[in-house]
Amino acid sequence: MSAATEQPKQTLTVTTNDNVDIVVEREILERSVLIKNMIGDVGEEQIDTAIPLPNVNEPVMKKVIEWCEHHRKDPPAPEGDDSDSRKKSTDIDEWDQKFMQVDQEMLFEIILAANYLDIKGLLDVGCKTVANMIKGKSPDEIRKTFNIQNDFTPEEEDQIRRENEWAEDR
Amino acid sequence: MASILERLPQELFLMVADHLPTKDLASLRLTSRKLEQDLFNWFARHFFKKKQFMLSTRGLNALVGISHHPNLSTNLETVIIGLEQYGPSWPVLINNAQMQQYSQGWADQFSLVGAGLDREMLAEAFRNLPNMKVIAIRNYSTPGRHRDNSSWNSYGAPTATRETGVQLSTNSAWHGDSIEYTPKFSSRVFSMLLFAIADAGIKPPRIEVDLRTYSSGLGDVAFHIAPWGQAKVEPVLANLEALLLTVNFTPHPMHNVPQAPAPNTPVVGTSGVHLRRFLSRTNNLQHLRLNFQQRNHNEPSRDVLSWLGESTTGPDPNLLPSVTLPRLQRLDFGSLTVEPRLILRVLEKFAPTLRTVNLRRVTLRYTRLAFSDEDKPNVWRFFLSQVSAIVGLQLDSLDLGLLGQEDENGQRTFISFGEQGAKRKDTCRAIRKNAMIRLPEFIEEVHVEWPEIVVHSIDDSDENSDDDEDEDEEMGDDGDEEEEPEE
Repeated sequence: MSAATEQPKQTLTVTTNDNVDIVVEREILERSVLIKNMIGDVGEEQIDTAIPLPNVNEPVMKKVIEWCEHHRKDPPAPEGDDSDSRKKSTDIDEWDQKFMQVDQEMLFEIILAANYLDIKGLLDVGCKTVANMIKGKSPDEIRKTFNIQNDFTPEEEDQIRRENEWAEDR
Repeated sequence: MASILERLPQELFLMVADHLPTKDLASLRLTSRKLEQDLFNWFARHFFKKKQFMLSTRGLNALVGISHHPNLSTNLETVIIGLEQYGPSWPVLINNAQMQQYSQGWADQFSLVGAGLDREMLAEAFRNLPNMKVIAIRNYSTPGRHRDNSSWNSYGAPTATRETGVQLSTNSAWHGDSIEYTPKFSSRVFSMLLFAIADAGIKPPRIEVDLRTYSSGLGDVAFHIAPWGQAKVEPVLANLEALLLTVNFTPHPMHNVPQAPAPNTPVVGTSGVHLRRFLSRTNNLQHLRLNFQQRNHNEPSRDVLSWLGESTTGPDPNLLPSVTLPRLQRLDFGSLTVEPRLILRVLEKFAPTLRTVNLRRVTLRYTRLAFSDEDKPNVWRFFLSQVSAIVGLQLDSLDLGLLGQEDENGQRTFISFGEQGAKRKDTCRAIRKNAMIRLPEFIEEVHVEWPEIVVHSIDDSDENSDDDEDEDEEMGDDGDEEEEPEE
């Protein structure tokens, strides 16, 4: 690769909902299908205008950008790829696992942002991370982990247990 | 602040749930009302739209329980009965505990089946499943239960296996040894199922019997309806739109008697008489599938096909006249060896309504003597050009797979598809639209895979052993091998 012929990296500005401007390389930002489409819609000439992101705040956006930067060279997710083997596995690569070691509130915000910005890979990692926090736990342990109040009557619990039994591979 | 799980939009919460094995999903459903309600519809569709049950107290109790459940019963659209069976011979066991479990399971199944309690329980369930459209029999588990690294097993069977240490047989022997003329378990279940449907007073549009492994197919007796039951079952049959069958008929004993036919009497095969009578009651059929599981005997499929292709007046007034099936749109034949003309006559007869034809593991029989030794006939090209010439036949879709041709010595060659000189050739090919228009062009892509040197083997005792390994690939479930009960 020759650096000489390389174009200077194009940057874009996004404005988060707490009114902070962040300057990011276009290639990184385009991991977001939402932003990519917005750029496509407004046309190249208006690209200098800051892109408002009314649903994301600065700390979350910074995390999102960090993820996009690390995954900038990932092949785009194939259209309609819902192949079961991929969906059902909760394997997460090491970097992503570390990246997701955040408090629950941040994890929640990242998932919402990934969904809003339409970043499939990040949304997937976020959902898998939550799934892994549920896996292998009893109902009581799940409640403790996520601060959930049990509001079932014993009869309702029995009914749900019965339904669960029918669903399991027994 | 409320838990992040409870604050996640439902759509995203379901994405999380989709990554969970069933056991964890079950725990999650028990955490809070809000989460349980968010999950319920998805949970019900995913696990209860299509479900397979073993004929055991555990399996049928689950089915009856689901049918009495106000919200799950409406989700069940396809009920599949699995053929897992205790016995017929005592397995090599194991320890005392497993031995006891096995005899208990065997006794339980014997009581259910022997006393007809299975029919009662099924009827009870069928009465309460307002959206059930398909009733099926299978002797295999469908792969694709990825969340548990498992298959969609018959409910009740995994527990039975765990308790006994034995993989229960699904291969259909019934009443001891599978002597040729002894009715098979599959036959018994089919017959029972029909009456359970009739008992429930319902008329499901589809009945599907999909059996894999050789010899598990329904015997002809499965289709016999004793006079006492005829009036009861007739409305069910008259309403059927789709009938998908795996049969494995043994030739009528007559075939084995060396008996010279009386002079001038045409030899009319009588295999499948009960099936014929059965089909004469299914006048509403739009889709008929016959998988023959044929290996050593050609007579049954030949008899049934030649009967199916007859005009309805019939050649012999003593025999049951053939059927008209005035609404038949789709016809599938699988695993059989016949002369091309027998299939052609069937297609001619149903040409006015037929739109889809599916031939799988079909071997066309021809007479080599008609060709010189150098000739390498392509019987499928001949057959397909005949198909394209059938007057009034307007096929949209033609599916062909795993085809062969066979001469009078049983010398079989296989068919491949591909452009001339193409590197990779396929064994299956489908035209999904405008099949009649595209057929002439398609015919050019049909090739016979001649062996390098044609050896006329004298000892052809192993002529049929070639397809053993993929016998479980019968024409199955319309390509949903990876299916889940969910859409």
